[in-house]
Amino acid sequence: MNKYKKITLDGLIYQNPTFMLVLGTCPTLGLISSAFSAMGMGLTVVVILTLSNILISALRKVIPNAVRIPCYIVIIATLVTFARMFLEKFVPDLYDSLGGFLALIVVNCIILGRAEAFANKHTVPEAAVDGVMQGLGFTVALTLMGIICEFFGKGSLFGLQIMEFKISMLAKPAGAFLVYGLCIAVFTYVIDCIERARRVKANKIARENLLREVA
Amino acid sequence: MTVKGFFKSNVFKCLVTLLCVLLVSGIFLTIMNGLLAISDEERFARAISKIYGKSVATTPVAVADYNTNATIEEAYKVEDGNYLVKSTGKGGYENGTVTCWVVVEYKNGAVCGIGKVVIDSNKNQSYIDRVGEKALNQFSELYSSEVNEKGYTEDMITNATVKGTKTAICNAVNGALDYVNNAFGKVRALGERFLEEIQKAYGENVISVYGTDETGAEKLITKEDETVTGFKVDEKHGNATVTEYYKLKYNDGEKDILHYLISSTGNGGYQDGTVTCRVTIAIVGGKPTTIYNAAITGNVGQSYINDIKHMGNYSNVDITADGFEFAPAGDFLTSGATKSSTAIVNAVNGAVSYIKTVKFETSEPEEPEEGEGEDSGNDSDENGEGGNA
Amino acid sequence: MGTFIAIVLAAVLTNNFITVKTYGICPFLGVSKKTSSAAGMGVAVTLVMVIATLVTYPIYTYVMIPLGIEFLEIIFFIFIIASLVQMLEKIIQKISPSLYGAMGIYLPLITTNCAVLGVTELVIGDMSAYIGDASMNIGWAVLYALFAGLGFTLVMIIMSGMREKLNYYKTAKALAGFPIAMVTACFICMAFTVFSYISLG
Repeated sequence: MNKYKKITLDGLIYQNPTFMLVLGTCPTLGLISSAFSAMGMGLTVVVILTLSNILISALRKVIPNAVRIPCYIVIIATLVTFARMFLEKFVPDLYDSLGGFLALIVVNCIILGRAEAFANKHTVPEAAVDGVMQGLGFTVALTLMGIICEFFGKGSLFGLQIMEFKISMLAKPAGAFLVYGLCIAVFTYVIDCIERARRVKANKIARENLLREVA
Repeated sequence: MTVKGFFKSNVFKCLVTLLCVLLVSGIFLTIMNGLLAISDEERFARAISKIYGKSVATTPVAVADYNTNATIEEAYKVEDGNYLVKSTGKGGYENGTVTCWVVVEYKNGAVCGIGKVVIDSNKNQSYIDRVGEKALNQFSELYSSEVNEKGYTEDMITNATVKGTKTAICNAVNGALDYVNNAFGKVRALGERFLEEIQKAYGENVISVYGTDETGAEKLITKEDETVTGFKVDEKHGNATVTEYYKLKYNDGEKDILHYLISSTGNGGYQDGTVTCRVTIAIVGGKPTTIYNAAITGNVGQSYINDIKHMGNYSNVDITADGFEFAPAGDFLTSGATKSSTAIVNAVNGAVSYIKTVKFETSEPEEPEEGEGEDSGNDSDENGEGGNA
Repeated sequence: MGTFIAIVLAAVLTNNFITVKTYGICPFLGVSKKTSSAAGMGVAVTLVMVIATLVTYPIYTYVMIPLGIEFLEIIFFIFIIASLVQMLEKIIQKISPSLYGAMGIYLPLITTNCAVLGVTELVIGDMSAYIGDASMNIGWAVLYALFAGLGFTLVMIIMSGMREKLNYYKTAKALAGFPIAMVTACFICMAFTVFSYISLG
């Protein structure tokens, strides 16, 4: 089960698609002005990514290497089209707020990237877990930034007006760039600190062990 | 490469795989498209419900322009009786326009309010975002019969600092009002609307209402009447002015009961405004006995008049006691509209005080009834006459 | 003429792909370290956007709508774009090896560039905000794609110029790389909001 733990940690933290790999930036910047649309986009990506990972992993032995990219694109485009129909029918609010970015999930580097880097080399369950975790990493990051941008940019949270004070610029692309940039900086800084602390601790234990052996 | 070789080659395998994937995707999506297709009606209903706030059935109605400052684009009759009008107002910033969806509330053949104003689109109004929901809500808050006649002026709408844009929005709303007023408001004669309004309080029972003709003589009001006038009074009673009354004969299934419908305008409302009420008083045995009900028919400057929820307190109240008067508004206040309620109490007290000065002919069939005054403050179909001497 | 000016202004300045629509951010952040590569990428994207629109718009209007298969638009468009990019790569390689040397390395990246799929999806949608009352046709569609691409190139070049200058300064370790690039982009976006005050009366 250690394998799945690693996939989970990778998806959420160490290879977080938004903060660490900086993939799928277009929908991120375009939609974090509202927490609702950011979370909606994240969850849509979770579903599409998981399904595409499962399908591609299942078909990895069937699809010849030469035409794998076109095949992946067709599979992803099919899933996106399906997601678009589904959302338009059942969640029209979300469909409207995602706008053009819904169709652009096809060219979201995260999905094609995971297909190419993970799904076509791993078994179906692993690919599924990877899809969910990478998607959740994306969702959490987007929702977090969505909350920040919406709270300061519109004075509301998930559409609920909280205060009159607002910095409209933060709800515009300019603010999205700023918040995204600063979030990456903070995230990498924190991860860096944790890693360093762990390394120091590991070194200390190693030295103690060495001393004990010598003694 | 031989034909056989081609079929065994990698190229063929690639082609087949790709085509298969494409075919499966195409079939899957075609099925899904069939299952999840959204009909035009559904799309339209969705758009309407977004504007209206809830999903409603609508029927389109013919549009026409009655106001030079606005163009009516589309109009729908909503199932609850209101009209939904898409109106484009002119005269915005840089000669631009603003298109609004206006919910015009419509009852008994007349416009009775503005439900909601939603901005649909605009031309050249770069500050349209500054017109918030607060500003737009004022259209429904400030609605009065006077506004209905003369339209909104831009000074009335605060909170929207953009002058030109505000003008265009006001024009759009006024255009919608004019359209509904002209296209649907005057179709029915005043008499019919008047009777219908009164009929409501009496349920299915037969009523006949008497007013006056041009000469001031008593006359039965019919549905065909173009004008409706009551018996002139114009007397001051306490803090109210009683302007006119109608006589009404109400059949409770056995016999006729005489009711007086007194129009009384109470002073002391919000910002020195007034509220006009129609107070219905039952006359039994030549004496006013009970208030059957009281209804608000008009007001000046009472923006919270729609919040008044205690008109039921004036139903079925015994007024035979000497010097009977309703207690000040505070006693049964259920809303925050203190001032408006004061004006209502004044109006009702004025009507009561007036009716006691009237001398009734005793030619009415006299037969004091043994009724129990158990109905406590509710609009009920029965005429609860309680406590005769 | 009015429509022409409106489209050009909207595509390049008021509704710039990067600063307002946030399309095509991956190359904007990834390939903007040097001005020469940024310009190469910009021109390549513009080229693909124009050709893709030229192909997808008629296919959508004259083939897919009559057949009633609009719902397959995403698959069709992405396939057309992918094959176009492949073809373009081969053609440029054959005709002008020097051009291929300058632009060729960016071409494979373009398939997954939102700006290209974005523009093809945009022109088949509601364009009334850009063309006003004029009716939509392939001419406006291609014009819009061309100037949207040029607007993209413009911002790419501005960004790369700033990042080249940034190289002379020391940045905090956590901010180095993407974060500082995004803060820079934030300032470019703010500068571009000025253009939203343009009004054609």
